[in-house]
Amino acid sequence: MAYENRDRVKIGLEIHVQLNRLKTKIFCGCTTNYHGDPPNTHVCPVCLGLPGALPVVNRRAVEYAIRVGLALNCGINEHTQFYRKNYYYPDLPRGFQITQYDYPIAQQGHVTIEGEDGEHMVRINRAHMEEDPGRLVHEGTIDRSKYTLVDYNRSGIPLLEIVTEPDLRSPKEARRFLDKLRNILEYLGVSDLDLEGSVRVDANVSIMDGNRTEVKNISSYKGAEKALLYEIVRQKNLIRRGKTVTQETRHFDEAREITVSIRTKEEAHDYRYFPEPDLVPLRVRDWVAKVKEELPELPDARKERFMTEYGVKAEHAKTLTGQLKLAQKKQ
Amino acid sequence: MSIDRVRELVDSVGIEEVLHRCSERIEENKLNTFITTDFEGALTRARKRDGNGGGRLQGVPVGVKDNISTRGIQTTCGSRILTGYVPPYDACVVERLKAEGAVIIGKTNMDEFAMGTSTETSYYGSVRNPWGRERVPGGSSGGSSAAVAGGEVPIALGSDTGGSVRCPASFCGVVGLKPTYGGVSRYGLISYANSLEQIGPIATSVGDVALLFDAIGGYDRRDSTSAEHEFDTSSALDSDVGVEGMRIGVPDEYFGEGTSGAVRDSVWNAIHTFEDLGATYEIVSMPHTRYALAAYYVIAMSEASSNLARFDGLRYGYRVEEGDWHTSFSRTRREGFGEEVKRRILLGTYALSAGYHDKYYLKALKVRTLVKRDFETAFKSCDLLLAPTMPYPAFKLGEKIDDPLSLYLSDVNTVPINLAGVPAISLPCGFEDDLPIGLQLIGNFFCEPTILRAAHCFEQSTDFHKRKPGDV
Amino acid sequence: MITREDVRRVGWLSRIELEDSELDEYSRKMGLVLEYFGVLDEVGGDVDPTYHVLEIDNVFRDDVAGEMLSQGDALLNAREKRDGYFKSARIV
Repeated sequence: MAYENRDRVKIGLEIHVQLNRLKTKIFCGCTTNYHGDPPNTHVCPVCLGLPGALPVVNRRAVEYAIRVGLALNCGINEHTQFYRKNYYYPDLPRGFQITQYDYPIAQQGHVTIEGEDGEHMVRINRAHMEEDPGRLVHEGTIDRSKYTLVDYNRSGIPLLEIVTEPDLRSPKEARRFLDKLRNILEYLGVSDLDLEGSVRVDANVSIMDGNRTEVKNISSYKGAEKALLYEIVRQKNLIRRGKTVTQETRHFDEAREITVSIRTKEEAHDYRYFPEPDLVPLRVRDWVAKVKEELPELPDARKERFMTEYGVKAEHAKTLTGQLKLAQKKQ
Repeated sequence: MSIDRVRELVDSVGIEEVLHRCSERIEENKLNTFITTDFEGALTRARKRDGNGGGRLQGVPVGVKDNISTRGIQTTCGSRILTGYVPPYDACVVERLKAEGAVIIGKTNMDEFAMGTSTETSYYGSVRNPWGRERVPGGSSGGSSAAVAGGEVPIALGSDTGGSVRCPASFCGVVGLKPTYGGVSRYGLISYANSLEQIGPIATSVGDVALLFDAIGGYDRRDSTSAEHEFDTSSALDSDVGVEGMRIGVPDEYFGEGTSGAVRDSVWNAIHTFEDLGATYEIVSMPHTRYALAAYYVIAMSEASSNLARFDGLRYGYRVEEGDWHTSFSRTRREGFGEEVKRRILLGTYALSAGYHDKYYLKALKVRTLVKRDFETAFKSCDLLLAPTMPYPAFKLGEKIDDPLSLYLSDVNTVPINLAGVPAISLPCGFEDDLPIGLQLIGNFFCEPTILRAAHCFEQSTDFHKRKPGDV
Repeated sequence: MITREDVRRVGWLSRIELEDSELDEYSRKMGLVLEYFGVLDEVGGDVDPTYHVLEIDNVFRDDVAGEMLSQGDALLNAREKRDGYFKSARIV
């Protein structure tokens, strides 16, 4: 039976994943294992944005990005390029983020999840590489703090931003998608998702074909479902009262489990994207065959195999393959 | 003074005395060529290396433009916003200079963030031209060129984004090279316009420029735009190989209406000198030259607006504490940057902003393709191109500074070279009212040996380089 | 041409504080430069842009640890610091 989706809920996700299984940062040789170390001890002129320092791309970060792209059934672009996204925040040491814009590494894939009405395909718009900013520490809360402390250990950690189409129809589907993604990333060995800050999710949410809001700051998979449940109810209540949903960015307050509008001084963002002149284009499609060859068996394939080779029931196979450690034990 | 002469001096009177004479000369000249000097550190470093010298620049004092990072020595870019900034690392070229035994005595004055043609935009005051104290030394590497011309140091490094080595070399009567893009590592060069600029050597002779280029050039893995090319500069100055049969192109467009009569005559005399030496010339046309200046400034300002975004007072440099972060940031930049820098950041931001990106930035990059093609076409029939470096000799301090556009127009013959990425050298070829005139020789990609050879032959057959400021 | 409002907007985008009294002078001088840039309109757009003059691609480093700065060197040039952190003004 087809899922009705009466409120015409549409959810699209942007997931930032740290490729933290890499030894070093995306554009410099600083090590990525900064967790638990004192602030500003995994830094160098490049990731501190010191004048004159220049970025050089970590080859393996590109390989990892291709791995993820292939696992998400994306096409790998013949020509990819880094861009500058110009905006200002103290955690961004150069006053711009090096990211991808036109010509991302991977585009147009899909992931099948168990949806509200059986198998459901979620389209992947793109996956692109970028650098993580540093980390801010506020005394108390962000709006009360007298000052902000900045640690650049995280600055330059390789990130992959995965963007879905608005194909998710409920918070539950969003959670299932995220679980599936987590599973894939662990199989691929590109990320340790148990590390703090390894995943951040932004969600675009609309109902009844109304305006969409962007909910930011969802820092855990569990948080995602809660944030979405809240935001959908909020939008429903507005419409019930005859109001319209404002197109805006909202912040998920994890402690209170609500989303709040963030008044931003910089309403009119103008990122002034342009190709990073300090980096040259990448032409890496001829890496694809080799990366594909080295790709581990992914959860879906393994599930199939457990069912046919060992005669394991579908439900049981799913449980087994849903967790990498269990799946490895079964081998 | 030549590298050879200084090395003899180091051997005869010792490094301490050589450094002392540099310091004295700087004192006497009062040209404001250096923002920072470090003679004590220079002596310590030189002594440490005493005895194990095998470097080609052993004991040779060098001035380094203040936008090139030097570990432990203040690096300001001529800006208030970097007052007190001491880099914790050396630029690639500085490492290479040190490896050759050169002794860095200080950081030379420059237009703020290399944005200028006269070294008048420096927060640390204007530099004076040793050929006439009321004249500008050219820019933006005005400190480096004036220091070499004034006999304060035998060699210096500059950087050339749109003529910033060649213009002051021309105005100060010395030799300056803008290498092929990618020929010298930019690692440690504080960016103004990344896709256009190169670090270049300045000296009193073509031979010294070639040696300095050889010392600093070549591939560096820390600069992704560095080219894996081996330059063969040693044979370039081989006296047996002249310019016999060399085909010289003379681009018509480089003798525009602003060109002074003396500049025109000197450059034509140079062409005839080359003819006498066995070269031939033909007039060539580079039709997109008239768009090059606008394209250059759009690209340079756009890149600069982003490159200079990092100066927020948080990690280094000048800082104003005022209200929240955005306010403090905006005020830091208000006070930290000078007029011209602010104007270029604003214009660059405008050129990249939504609605204008295609009209300005993208269009400029398309024009760059056309300018580059002009060079490709010219180099099909020519080995090198020859033109005036600047349309006129050094102008007076204060003459153009209030009129940005007229200042920009002085760069008309230098910026197309940066847009195309090819190498060019400026060397003395005459005088107008006792002020030097510069000749520009432009080569194809990686053809530094060709232009160095031609420049060397010209120098050998003329006396312009022998005249020093103060000689009458 | 560029209006006072444009200059104000670009000033904010560039994080350069401008006084109201300066806007006219900025818009006049910037206007002259932009007018000169208008020469680019004469050129047809049917050509590829050149971002890099050299056709270099695929430049990488290996995933091997390099030299890092000590915390002291990292913070050496900061005017304000605290407990190993850079100290910034409050965000809002």
